[in-house]
Amino acid sequence: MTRTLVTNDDGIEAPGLRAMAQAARAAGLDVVIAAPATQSSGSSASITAVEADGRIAVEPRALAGLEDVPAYAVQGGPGLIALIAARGAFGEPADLVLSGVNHGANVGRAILHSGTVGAALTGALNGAWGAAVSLDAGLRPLELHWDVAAAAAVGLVPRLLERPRGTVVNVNVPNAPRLRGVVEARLASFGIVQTTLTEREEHHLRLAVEDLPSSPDPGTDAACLADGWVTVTGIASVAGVELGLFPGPQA
Amino acid sequence: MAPDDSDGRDVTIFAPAPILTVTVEERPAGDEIHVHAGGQGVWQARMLLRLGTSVTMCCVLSGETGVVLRHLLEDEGIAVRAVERAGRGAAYLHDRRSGERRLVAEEAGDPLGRHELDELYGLVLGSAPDSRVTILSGPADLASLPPDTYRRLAADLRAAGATVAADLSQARLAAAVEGGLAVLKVSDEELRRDGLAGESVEAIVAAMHELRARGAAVVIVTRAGEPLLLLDEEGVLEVTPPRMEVADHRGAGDSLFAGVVSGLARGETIRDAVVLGAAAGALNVTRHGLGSGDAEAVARLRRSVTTRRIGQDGADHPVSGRVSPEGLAALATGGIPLPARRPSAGGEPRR
Repeated sequence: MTRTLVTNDDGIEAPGLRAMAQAARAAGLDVVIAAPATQSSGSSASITAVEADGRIAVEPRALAGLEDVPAYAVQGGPGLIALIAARGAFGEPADLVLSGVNHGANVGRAILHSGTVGAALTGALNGAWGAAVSLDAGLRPLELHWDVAAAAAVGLVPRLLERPRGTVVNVNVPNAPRLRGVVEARLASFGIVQTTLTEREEHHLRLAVEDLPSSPDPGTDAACLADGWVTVTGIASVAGVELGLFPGPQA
Repeated sequence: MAPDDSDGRDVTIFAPAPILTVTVEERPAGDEIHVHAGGQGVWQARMLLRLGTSVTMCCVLSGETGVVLRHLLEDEGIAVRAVERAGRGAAYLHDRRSGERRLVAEEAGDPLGRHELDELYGLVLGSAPDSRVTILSGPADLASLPPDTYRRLAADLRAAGATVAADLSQARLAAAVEGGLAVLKVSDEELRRDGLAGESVEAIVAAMHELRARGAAVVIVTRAGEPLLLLDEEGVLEVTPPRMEVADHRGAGDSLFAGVVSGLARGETIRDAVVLGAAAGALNVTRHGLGSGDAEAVARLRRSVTTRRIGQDGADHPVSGRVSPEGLAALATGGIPLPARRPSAGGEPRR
């Protein structure tokens, strides 16, 4: 069975996390859940954490409907979680990191800032396959089809595992009971990324940061998602670029 | 039934110009001539009566047709408070002997003069305090009454403490909402025609929020064949009536509205009243209008109506908004304010 870390940036209580874990378990994956104790949207691959008594605070949780799946609430963001999971913090390291299902789209190059994407990339940097999955909830959703999005994402896993380790896909799913289909699309130049502003007294303001008015270039992930497609984009984390400004080190 | 003009009735209906309808039909024994009262307010009154709710109608009765109309209305059990005047009233004559409806003659009636309108206004304001609910209905003739009348009437009735309900469209809808309504019923078709909403449920709900923001405390949207939607201070409720062998949706909206008003007139909450309305609407569609003895059938049917809160999924989520990267920068420099928090009334997350 493929050892799978399910994480997110919306927090351990988020319905999208539960849907993802349920879909992964139903697909026969060996699931462990570790997610931020609090909302961490826009945290990218941040590895900040809250320490208590000299330790990163980790609390075991039982999630409704997933009582048989080990789950941990972590006082840190998804990037940190993926990093320490790869070092055995939550048992045997994962072969696959499923991050999401995020509340709100993560499309275009602005996904640099996404905590959802940050966890998937961090997992890949440490030798796993990664998938960042987001539901395009819109501003005033009446219903959120978490299960549809999670099933669509988990359905892509066999194809993902055919690729080399370290492969990461960014997946966005329209909020609909039935889906039109899947397309592979390039990143929009800016796109959309979710963040939260924390106010005093613990209030959060959820914000979608996006080019406004949004009229994405045709063929990009942002445009295809708006047209009702599930979008899949292969993404890579930091990589060096040779500039040729100076000679390299002599052997 | 001899209505007592002095007592309080459950519901007051503002029905500016009821119509006298004369229809000729062919029967084996020869032609039959039917004489009835018609118009939206009369329809509403008739269905309220069938649901066991008493009605006072405030209207203008003109000339000979007015004399006949008063008798017809009172014979049906409606208490009539009328401004009586000489001149022509609204009436039509239809010939159905060919099997199709052929218009033989129609008169719109003389426009209401300022004095008559003032007098009618006074009748409504005098009757409303004795009723649990006051309905503003529209005349069939769109030109005969300035829409602003509905704004003033809604505002004055509300100021007098009345619970005002309306099933209007277009300019009258906008005016009445501006004046302030306790309950507005509108169909999704009318919302689309008025350019207020698109096809999707999300677009309809957005339009409902807009109407609520403009002054309708409760907005009910009927959708032919689909569950109806209610928006009140607690958020959106989807109401699904039992499936019936649907013959025709015509008149179902009127039955629904009457059911809602009837429930309110009995002191029910709006969320209970809309269930009664859905049952009345469902019964209607099987046979084009409510009939006598239907109060019991509606009471039985309401047990089969299901309701579901929608738009609550994000209840534990923070308030949502959209911002451009430039806007984010401006947040730091004080250039623009944060997206406004909406009042908790709009089904927004509680936190």
